[in-house]
Amino acid sequence: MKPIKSQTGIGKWLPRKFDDVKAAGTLQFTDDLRFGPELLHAAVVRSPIAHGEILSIDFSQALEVAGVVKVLVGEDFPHHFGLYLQDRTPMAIGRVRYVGEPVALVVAQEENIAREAAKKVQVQYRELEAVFDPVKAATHSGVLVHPELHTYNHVDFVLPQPHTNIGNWFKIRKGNPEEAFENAAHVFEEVVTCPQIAHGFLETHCSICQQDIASGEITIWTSSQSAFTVRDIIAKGIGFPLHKIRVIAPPIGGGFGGKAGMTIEALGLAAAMHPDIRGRPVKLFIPREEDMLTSWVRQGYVARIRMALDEQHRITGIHNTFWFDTGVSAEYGANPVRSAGYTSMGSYNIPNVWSDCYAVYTNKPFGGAYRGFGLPELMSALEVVVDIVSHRLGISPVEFRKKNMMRKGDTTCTGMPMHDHGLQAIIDRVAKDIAVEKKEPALRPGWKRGKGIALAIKAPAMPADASSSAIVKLNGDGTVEVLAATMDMGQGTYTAYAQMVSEELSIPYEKIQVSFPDTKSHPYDWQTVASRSCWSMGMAVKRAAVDVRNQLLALFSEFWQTPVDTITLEYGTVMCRKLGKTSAIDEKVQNGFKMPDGMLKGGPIIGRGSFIPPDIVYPDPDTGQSPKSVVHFTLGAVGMDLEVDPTTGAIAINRVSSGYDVGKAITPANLRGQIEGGTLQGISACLMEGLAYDEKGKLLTPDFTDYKIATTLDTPGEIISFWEEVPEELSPYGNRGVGEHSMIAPAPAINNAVFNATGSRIHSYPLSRERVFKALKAQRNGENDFVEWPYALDVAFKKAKKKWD
Amino acid sequence: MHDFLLERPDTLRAAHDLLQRYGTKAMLKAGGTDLLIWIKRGVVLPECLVDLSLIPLLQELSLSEAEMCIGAGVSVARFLSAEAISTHFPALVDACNSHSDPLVRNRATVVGNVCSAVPSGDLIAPLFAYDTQLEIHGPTGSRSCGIDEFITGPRKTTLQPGEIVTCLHVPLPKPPSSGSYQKAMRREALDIAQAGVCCVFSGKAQDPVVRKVRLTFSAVSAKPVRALKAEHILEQANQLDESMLQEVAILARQAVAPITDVRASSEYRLDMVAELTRRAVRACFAERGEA
Amino acid sequence: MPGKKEVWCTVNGKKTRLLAAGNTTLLQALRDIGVTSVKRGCEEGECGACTVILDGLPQKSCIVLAQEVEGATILTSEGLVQNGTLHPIQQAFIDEGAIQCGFCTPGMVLSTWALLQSNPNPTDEQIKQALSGNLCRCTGYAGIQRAVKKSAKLLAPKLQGGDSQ
Repeated sequence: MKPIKSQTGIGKWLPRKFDDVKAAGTLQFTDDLRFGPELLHAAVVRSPIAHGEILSIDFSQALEVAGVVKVLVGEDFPHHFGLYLQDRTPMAIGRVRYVGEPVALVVAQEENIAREAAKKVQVQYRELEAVFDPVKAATHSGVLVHPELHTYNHVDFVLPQPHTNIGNWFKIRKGNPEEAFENAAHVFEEVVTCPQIAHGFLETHCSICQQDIASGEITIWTSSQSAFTVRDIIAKGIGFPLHKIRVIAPPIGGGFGGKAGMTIEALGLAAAMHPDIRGRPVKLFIPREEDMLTSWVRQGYVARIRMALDEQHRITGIHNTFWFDTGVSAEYGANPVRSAGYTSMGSYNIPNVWSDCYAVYTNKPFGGAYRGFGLPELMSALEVVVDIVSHRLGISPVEFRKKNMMRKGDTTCTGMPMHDHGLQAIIDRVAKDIAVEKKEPALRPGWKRGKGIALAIKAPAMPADASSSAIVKLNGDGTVEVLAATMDMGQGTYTAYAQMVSEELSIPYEKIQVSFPDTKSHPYDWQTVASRSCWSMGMAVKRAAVDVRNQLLALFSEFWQTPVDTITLEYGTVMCRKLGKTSAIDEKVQNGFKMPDGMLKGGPIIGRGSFIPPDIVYPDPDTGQSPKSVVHFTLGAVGMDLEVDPTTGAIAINRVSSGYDVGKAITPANLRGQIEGGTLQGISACLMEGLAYDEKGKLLTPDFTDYKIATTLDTPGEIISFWEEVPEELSPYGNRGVGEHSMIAPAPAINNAVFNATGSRIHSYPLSRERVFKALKAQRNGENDFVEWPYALDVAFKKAKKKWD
Repeated sequence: MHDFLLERPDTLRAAHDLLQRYGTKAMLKAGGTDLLIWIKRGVVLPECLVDLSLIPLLQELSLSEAEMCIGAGVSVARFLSAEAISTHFPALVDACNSHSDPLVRNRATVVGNVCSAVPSGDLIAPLFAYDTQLEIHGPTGSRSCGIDEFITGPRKTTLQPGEIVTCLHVPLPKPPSSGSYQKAMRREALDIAQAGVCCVFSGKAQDPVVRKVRLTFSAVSAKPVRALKAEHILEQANQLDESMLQEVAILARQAVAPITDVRASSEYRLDMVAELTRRAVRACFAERGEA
Repeated sequence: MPGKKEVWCTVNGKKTRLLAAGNTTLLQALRDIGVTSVKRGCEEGECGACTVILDGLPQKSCIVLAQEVEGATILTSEGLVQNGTLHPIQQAFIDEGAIQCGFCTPGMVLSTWALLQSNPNPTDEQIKQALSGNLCRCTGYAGIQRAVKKSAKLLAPKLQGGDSQ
């Protein structure tokens, strides 16, 4: 008989935690928090030029505005911050590096006063030449964005190249690629480009910082995915001990990686720590039109991929060169470069791999974490190249992928053996859902219909020291509190944790509460990123719940004088069927069991659990090889059935099928949500998103007027979301992450379907209406391949492709 | 955003008095959906906003046998809900449905779209095509003015200090009429036009002598223009045929002068003008059963 | 500029005093009195996170001036909760996976409410049109579409009966 019985354990469809207060609108986000009249407000003064020396900052007029308390400049807070590389200061010091960079902070009694006064700060600059093109910046630019790069602290697995614009260089050297290309039956080389894109969360960044005048302790309320990482990065940056910084993370309105790490907190902290302000809380709310200028966006890229194949159409070698445009900072952007690099085989079994992935500095807003973390970038290029190759060889794109995909035991590009997975079944399902081989007439008169598929793959991209811990408290009324510092930003992790605890303790889900992170009360978790939480924190939560259960059973065993294995937990009740005894979980667990000898024993039951991935070996810095570079991979695929309007370039998606091998579905409602949401986010990125600049580096798409994201009217006719479950060995319940994966394949799947529909191959994202229209126009002039990269104006693009070694 | 005084007069007289008092420091506000954003962005910095929404006279929306009167305070949504407008003014209905989104339409006004005079204003081209006359009240009396006399450039009108556009007079097109507004955007909803084309036919069916055609545009010229040569061809045409359509499309391209900006290049805008002209013209013929 | 003015209106059924300068938006004024379901998403009329029902019509409160709502009736999503029970639309959103981060949810719920008031049995296309001014980045809109359809089913008898909610 099963010793733990629960109706609300893993795998169930349940009403999600906090959905009720979200529906009512009473859940408080950071901007909703109330402080008293002592609250001060900060507004940012920004650079109008892309690169220059700051000659002077005159804020005398701003100080004269009634209600203004202080104006700070870069020198007032000269600390460097960064997760992997400390190349960021909250305000510019001596030099500005992008249009919009903060150069001063105005602090006032009211937000409107601060904003109006910010317009009165006068800054003089000496303009310097700027560089915007990442390929140019990487290969032959006289402009150095970070001349002091060699002085920045960094982790040892990030390799900045001093006296260049390369903030990180990740290499894969597996096998003998040169030989593979020499002996190849077929060699193909293609280029794909993609601009930076923005997260587009509905809630912008917001933080409130306060420093106690007596103890010096800092409290930060902030919209963040990673309360502990905010704490740690700030501690390192300002030289404070960890226990003197408290970070409270209210629910956030979307993260997608844009609120991972430390984003804007140091900027508000600069004001809160100033001797003239200290003691008062300072709120920094970033308005929509400034958000892309204050925190990171997704890196743009230029990719060149060469592929070698044998006569049997097996991929024998691949040579990847990716220039990731990381703007002015690689503090976080150094890592998506790695993540793409150590997965640069894609989903394929390729014995010989040469990859160079560069994080390149340019004078633009900076890149960092974004859902998919290097894999949407890699796969939106690689899956297009795979499709091109399959067509050139005259094989079905589905068969080509199935022939070359990695199976259990094949090695990745780092030499790590791939585990078992359900990709084949997913490909077959996706292919069937859109009837990929079937040529069907367009539903819209005059439009052209096409189908395409693309694969997705990603491992959690995290350092070997990304640890998790959790505390589970059993209350005297049989309810449970879980302290797990994951940020539930809507992906539903608190629901999943409650189900896990219910699975281990039998207690009904409604009686289990999970609370939002506070570094003072919660134990440490690295970050809510990398699709790691249900897996990594799940291990910790499960261990903590099991710890509670063991203590509970031990106490009841003594209380009832019966062996532990005769006791069962059933729907929140403790039972010993052998002895006919039952008990609710009640005050005894809090205030002690009166044992047969008359003594009180027990005391409150607290469970704890910790987890750290046990056997990660960092890839070798020269070869990228490692027997276990990542914990595991989640694989999947997307199929698109779409139509193209040749008269305008518009694309309409009839149906998309999107599936992933998640190992085990803990909370099916969450999975459905993540797949539906990420798929549309990927579609939106492909069809309409990209940061655009004028020739002086000014961002032309700072807000929703011109940075367009998908609305209800831009949704596909139908979206099918599904999953396979090939269990993960090291995992709380066999589950793997999936939060990011649905973002990876929609763009290349669309690209491949557009080719199938029209015969035009567009090598540059986004596939906006204008671009598709132009591509079709070019096609009528015999050009079937269309490339547009706005920065390659002075380096002729086609020539440049050959000269980038 | 910059601070200002909000005045809410309840008569036209009171509104005029306020304009007199504040002179060029005052701006008129109907829905305010453009204006508030301009103030927020620092494009304009009025000291006083004169809100027209409490003046009953300006809330009029009426349809007679001769014309439709749209008061300055009538929202786009309210206009769309009026009876019979889809029969008489289908192009304006198209344009209103493509304007912003259902929420903003509950606030933005038809007259406001004209007075904002933004080249991409969706309602301007159809109102122009329907020969709309603005009724303008000033300190010295009232005057009447056509759309193309009123708008002289991007965000520039001939509205003089102290003047208020009180309503639009849109004559009913001579039946059988047909009309279409076609818009090119970057996505399906809530976007500023990359290009817009409006075509209106009125007068006797299949009688080229009395058929009147208007072909006007959004987002592709600094001020409202008509494609006169194209109109002429359409007025003469006996029926719809492809070569006539191509010629009309080419003439439409020649009538406009779009710019390149982050929303679209001038080349794409010209191509869309051609394509949307074909669509608008086909729709006009089809509606009259002449396809 | 003179200081803030008193503006008397009805918010969620209660007579309410807002304090507003000329340039105070309805969004700010509501948030100042603790009605925080209306959110600052863009403050330029693009995202819909600030949606309210103003005199029966769904509007973006970031482009409404607070001084303009003298005497008006305002409904926000808090006002749809009756005696601790969520409105059927709110419940449908929970049931159909229409909520993830929750930031767009109050605005979506109100736009749904407004749609079903005027069109109790909307088609899929009409639903998309009605909600096209409310952005969501998390759900892909699929759950929201399901929730609106479910809401229509749940409310159909009530709406035909002429109830105000």
